[in-house]
Amino acid sequence: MMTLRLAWRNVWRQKRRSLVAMLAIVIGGAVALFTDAWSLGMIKQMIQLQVMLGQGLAQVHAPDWVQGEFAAQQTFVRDRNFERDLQNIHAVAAPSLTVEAMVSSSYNSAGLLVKGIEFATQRQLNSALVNTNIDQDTLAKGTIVLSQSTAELLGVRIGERVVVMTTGLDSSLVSVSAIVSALYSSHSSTYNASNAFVPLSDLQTSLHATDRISELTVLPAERKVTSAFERVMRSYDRENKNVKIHMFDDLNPMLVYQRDSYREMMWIFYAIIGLAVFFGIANAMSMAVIERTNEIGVMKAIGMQPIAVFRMFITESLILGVMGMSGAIGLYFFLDLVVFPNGIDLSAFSDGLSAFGLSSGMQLHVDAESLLNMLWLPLCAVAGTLPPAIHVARMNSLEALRYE
Amino acid sequence: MNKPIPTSIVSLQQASKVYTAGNTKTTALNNISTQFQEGEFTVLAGASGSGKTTLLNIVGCLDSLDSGSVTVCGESVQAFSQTQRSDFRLRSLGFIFQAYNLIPVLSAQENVEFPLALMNVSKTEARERSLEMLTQLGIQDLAAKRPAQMSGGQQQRVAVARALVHQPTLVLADEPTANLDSENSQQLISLMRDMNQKFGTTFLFASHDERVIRQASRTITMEDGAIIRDEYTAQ
Repeated sequence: MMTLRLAWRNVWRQKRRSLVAMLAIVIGGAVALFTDAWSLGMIKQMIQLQVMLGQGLAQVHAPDWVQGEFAAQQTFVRDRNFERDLQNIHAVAAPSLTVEAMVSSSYNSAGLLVKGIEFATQRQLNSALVNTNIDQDTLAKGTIVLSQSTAELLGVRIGERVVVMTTGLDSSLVSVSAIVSALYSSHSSTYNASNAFVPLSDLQTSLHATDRISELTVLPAERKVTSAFERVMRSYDRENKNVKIHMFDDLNPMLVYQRDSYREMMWIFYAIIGLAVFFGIANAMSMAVIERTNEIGVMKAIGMQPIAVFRMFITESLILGVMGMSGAIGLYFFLDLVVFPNGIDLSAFSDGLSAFGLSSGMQLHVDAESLLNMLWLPLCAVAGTLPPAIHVARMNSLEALRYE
Repeated sequence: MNKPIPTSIVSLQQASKVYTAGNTKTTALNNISTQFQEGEFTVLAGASGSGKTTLLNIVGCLDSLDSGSVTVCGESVQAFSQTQRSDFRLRSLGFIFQAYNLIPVLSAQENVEFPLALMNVSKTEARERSLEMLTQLGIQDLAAKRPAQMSGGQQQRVAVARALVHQPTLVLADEPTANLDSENSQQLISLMRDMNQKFGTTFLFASHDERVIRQASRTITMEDGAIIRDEYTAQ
């Protein structure tokens, strides 16, 4: 108790020096936490947008499905019983049939992925379709939904007609016309430039692929992979050899790698801040040792053990470190909750962000691990105190008493 | 009834200490043999550099002899490790320094409590004992004050309280009145003499202050590291 009292009062003995040391920890810590929250927020947003841009958290495909290819052979017969099972656990199950097609107007043409969808279910897991002007549950027969950018490229407006040309399951050329019934716009410019939607039944009929789909996209009600959800999916995968289940992580290896590896990259940042804290505190505590040499001599002469002197200095740095850490966390939350309560407005960079599928409103996000990592700061402060504290513990009491 | 034979608190046998600075060797203690008895109020007198402080440092386990032996409170402290020396100082010795040397961030009472805290005495007991000691020295009003808020005389009284609160067997004081005016010096010496008589605590001073020397029950005069005179005064 006496050690803590002494350490606490010694911290405030040289107010300016302690405050400067603490401020360095506060700023370093807050910058680290802010960077961590920025990265985590960005990755979370990328994943969230990806999930909600029609990808869901799991997909059912044909066994020989290859990502990025849309061959007719990669279709399978729709299993309505399984879809019902998924609905029973409140998951959204959206079937689709995707083909590569040339969509042409009288003015221009574009190579697109034309997706046959059931609008009611697809809209529940595809944010691009939420804000369209379609208010009914189905797309009307013979219609197509284009992105605004594709419509501009083709020079068409709602109500005008385009021609969709693709290859059928038997490799024959299939050509149908469709009326543009709605326009959509998502956060991702890449997605907008490459996707169009038609009614699933229209596409199945045109391709002579009755009841066949190329993908069943699944989104659990909680919008996260729960153990119950994973159990249902894995069990279906085991029991059905004619399909293959792909979870989100299988479909987005780069994003998953980014998610899993960003913390390792953050540690480089933490290491730099830790070094600054280490040397800052080492300097402050070395000064304190020099100033208090005589006093330490008195304490030792009275009977204070070297380990107790060591503990006193370590406690001082721990107080500085913990207060600095608390200040850093406080400053971060001030920025997050007071300065940027609605996220950080990056609309000036919206074009670049949209290419990465990101919106221009960046939400900061910290998790328990981010906050736990802040313990690194007092740890570095203590490490910085070790050299002067060891020196002072070893100091001869008589020499210390004689020190002027 | 026979008067009890006083017990020897400190015993020095052929104690020598030489300090070396570059090529210069200074003999601080030159083959000294003496004893200090329990309850004595002894002054080490002599000019600067005569070896008074070195003798105090040796007895106080702050320094070691080059040759000879020293026994303090029945223990041969020469062989003690640093940890044992610290522990011994805490249990058996009290120190009063020339420059008071109170801990500036602690109040008067907390300074007095300091040795008790190191001895792991409970907080309540330490509070009681420190306040009692301050009261006995007539400075209970200063309990909450920090050293910077006290005069030199007041600080030295607190230092005396700190040296006595854990009831040490021996109190060592190095020029305790050197920084005090004559009135405060006189008061401090009387105070320590009272404590010596009240508690039977043994006091060993280094001083060349005549007022201190006059109050001593025994005066050892030193010169060039040797004892040249050892006188007992009838009190």
